[in-house]
Amino acid sequence: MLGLLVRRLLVSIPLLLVVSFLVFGLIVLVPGDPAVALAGQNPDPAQIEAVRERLGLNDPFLVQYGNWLAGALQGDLGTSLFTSQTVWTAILARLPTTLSLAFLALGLAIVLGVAVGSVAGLRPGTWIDRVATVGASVGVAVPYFWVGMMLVLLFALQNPLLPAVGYVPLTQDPVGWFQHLVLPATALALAPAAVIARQTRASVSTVMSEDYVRTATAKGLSPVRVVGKHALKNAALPVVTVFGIEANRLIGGTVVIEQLFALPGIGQLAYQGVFSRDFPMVQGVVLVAAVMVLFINIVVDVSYGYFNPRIRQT
Amino acid sequence: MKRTTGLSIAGVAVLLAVAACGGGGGGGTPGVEREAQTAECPPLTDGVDEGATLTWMYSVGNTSFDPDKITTNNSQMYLYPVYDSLVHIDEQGTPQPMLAESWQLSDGGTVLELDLRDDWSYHDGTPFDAASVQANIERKKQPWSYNANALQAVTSVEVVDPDTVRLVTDGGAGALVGILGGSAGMMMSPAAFDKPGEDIAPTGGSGAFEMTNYVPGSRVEYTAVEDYWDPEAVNVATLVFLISGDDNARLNAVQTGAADVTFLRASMYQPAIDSGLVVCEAPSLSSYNLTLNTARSEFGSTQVRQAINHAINRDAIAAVTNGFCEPGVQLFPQFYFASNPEIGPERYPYDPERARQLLAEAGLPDGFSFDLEVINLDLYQQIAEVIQQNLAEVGIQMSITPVEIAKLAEDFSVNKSADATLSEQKAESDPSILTASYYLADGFNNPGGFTTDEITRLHFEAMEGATAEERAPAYAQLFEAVAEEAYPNVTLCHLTTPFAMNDTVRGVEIYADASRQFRGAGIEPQP
Repeated sequence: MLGLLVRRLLVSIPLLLVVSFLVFGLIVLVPGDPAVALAGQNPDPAQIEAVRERLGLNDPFLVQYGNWLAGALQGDLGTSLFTSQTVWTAILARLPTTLSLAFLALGLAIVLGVAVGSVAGLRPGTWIDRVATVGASVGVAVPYFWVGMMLVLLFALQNPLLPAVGYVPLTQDPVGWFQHLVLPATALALAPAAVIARQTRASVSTVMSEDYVRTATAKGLSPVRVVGKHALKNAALPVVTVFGIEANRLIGGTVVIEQLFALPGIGQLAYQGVFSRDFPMVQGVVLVAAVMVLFINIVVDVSYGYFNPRIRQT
Repeated sequence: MKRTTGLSIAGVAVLLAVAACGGGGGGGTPGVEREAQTAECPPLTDGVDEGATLTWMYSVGNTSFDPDKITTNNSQMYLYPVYDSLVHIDEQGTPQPMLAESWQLSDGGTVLELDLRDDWSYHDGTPFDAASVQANIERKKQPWSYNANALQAVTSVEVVDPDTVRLVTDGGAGALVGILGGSAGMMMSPAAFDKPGEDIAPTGGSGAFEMTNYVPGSRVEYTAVEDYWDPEAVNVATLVFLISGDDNARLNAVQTGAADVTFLRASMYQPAIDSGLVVCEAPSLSSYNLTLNTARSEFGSTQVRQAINHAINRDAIAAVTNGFCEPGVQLFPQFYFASNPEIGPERYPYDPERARQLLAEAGLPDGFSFDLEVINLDLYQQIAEVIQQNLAEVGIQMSITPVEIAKLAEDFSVNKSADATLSEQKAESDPSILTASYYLADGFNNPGGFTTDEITRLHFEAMEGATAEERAPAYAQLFEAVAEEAYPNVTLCHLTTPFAMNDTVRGVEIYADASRQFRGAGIEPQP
């Protein structure tokens, strides 16, 4: 297991380098010179050139990337071109919001997806299965932002039960924190929950027809123990794989949801950074997002060993 | 088969409905759904709660809390609570005393003498006096300062006595009065000039509020200072500015009480009315402009520019904006002192026949083609499509290239590679900043370098008067000359700014220069 973890961590390093290089390249290719925006009111060409020189934007691409990488390796992701805030400070200030949103959404997706998928998988062909299957298809089809807008309409505007926008830190007011995240987390959770439900249903219905499940039932084990101890654990492997994929997609979804609910997270930071051509900020946010994705992938890989001991030995 | 037929009928019905709804954008005589209007916000009352918090929500944040290190016009909105200016530009766009109690022009309009307030200190305790004003102006003139260009006419700053300062210029000191109403006149404690972190956590302010919490791009909180020199300007204990780029999120915030006031885009107006919010609106100095690069295409010809002016149906553009843009042909609306009150939209009426005639006189009877770069937002593209249709009717083929706002300025003003742009022009603290940008040969928004001796002379002449009344005649002549030449910035219409707020908000003024200040605004307690 430790070997697996070390291997995964070692593979992550070149992967992060490739990601950072690609993102840096893509940002430089995006049209729009930040020096024009930074040079002030009605600037003349000399003022724009002075800004370009000061920011190092006249340096060759590889030199710019090398300077950024050298700083990043020492823990310095640079300073925002527009707010004078260091990239780390900005990210750390907003990371709790995004992590809160992502964890709540993932938790909701797992609970909802596994519960609905298990019930449907245990009763294939019944009306429960059909309703769950249709519901999951709808859940996959509807976009995050539409669900978010409908939730705001129903639970914040027409029935003022929950806040429509904003965020309260957990340390400041746990109840307020939860209330502010319920709607965005639900909007974000629906699609992953649907995918997890479909995968769980397929896995559970397959596992339930396996010999060892029949044997466990024949031994006189209670249905709860048969499902909980034998069926679900063996059905979990494909579900965990799907969970990993959905978790990664969900991180991308936070960009849209944070805009819709005015949540001060790193998705909003990335959005603002892209539109203002704040290169260091975009680069920093993408790097942090890439680390989060790699972390999720490692957790998923390691969890395979728990669910299937044979993997641990390979 | 029956089902298929039913679906087809439904589809045709939907298409017809969509076609009917989209009729307003054409080139004929569309009906304006809503007339531009003025509706004042609820006035201040005696019953406001001075311990209350007023929350404003806007679409973009600021770039610094140092008035010299900001990089965008919108950033000034976040500085007004923290820094008082030497001059206050009121909601009508008229200069009023602030940290300077009065001013006089002398030496043939080249010197501006300011009499300063003697009862005020900066937030860090540094006294506000002539020496601190001198230090501020000299800092603002540094090449790196956002305000350097606005103050380039200032050649020296002289301290006459602790309460009097003289700004010596190489001409046009009158324009400084308005310029000192924006970030160029914001006073910051000299002790804070080089203090690290001042652009994120300012300590050397001079205004009614101190900034007490800041999450860049998300939230700013201000707390009222004690014993402010103008107590009537402070009617709340806390001001909060929230930031969200999402129109729906801002409107939802006001509807649910997360914010008290926001501005409305045209598409948000009816939902705001329908949800029972208080909506008020006022004409602004902002305008939509089709700006032409006279060094490209056929735009060097006066007749071509006149033809374009006649070809565009400004009423159709007003309809596309749902009446939030009043047709006009001058850079500023007729109510502003820097305009010619005699020049209305009738100066260039929609007349395709006259446009064709002018093109023929210019030797282009078959028209010509060019490309328009336009901000990649829906409304701009809809306006561009109206212009495209209008111009096609007279034989001018215009292609539309949507770009982000950052690229628009780069292509048009820096690389000078764009034929034309369509954008919103917001007002500056003094009209001379924009007339220099559009009408002088080296102006930022004049990539073709088009000007005439008369227009250049009138631009500088209009900067000399001490008051709006003194400057108005020169501006009237300037805009007459501009209209006669059919200047390369083709003004289409002037924007009306609507605000939406809950029914407890009092005393909010909508500033004509779109500066979004909340001086004196208050909140009435809920019954």
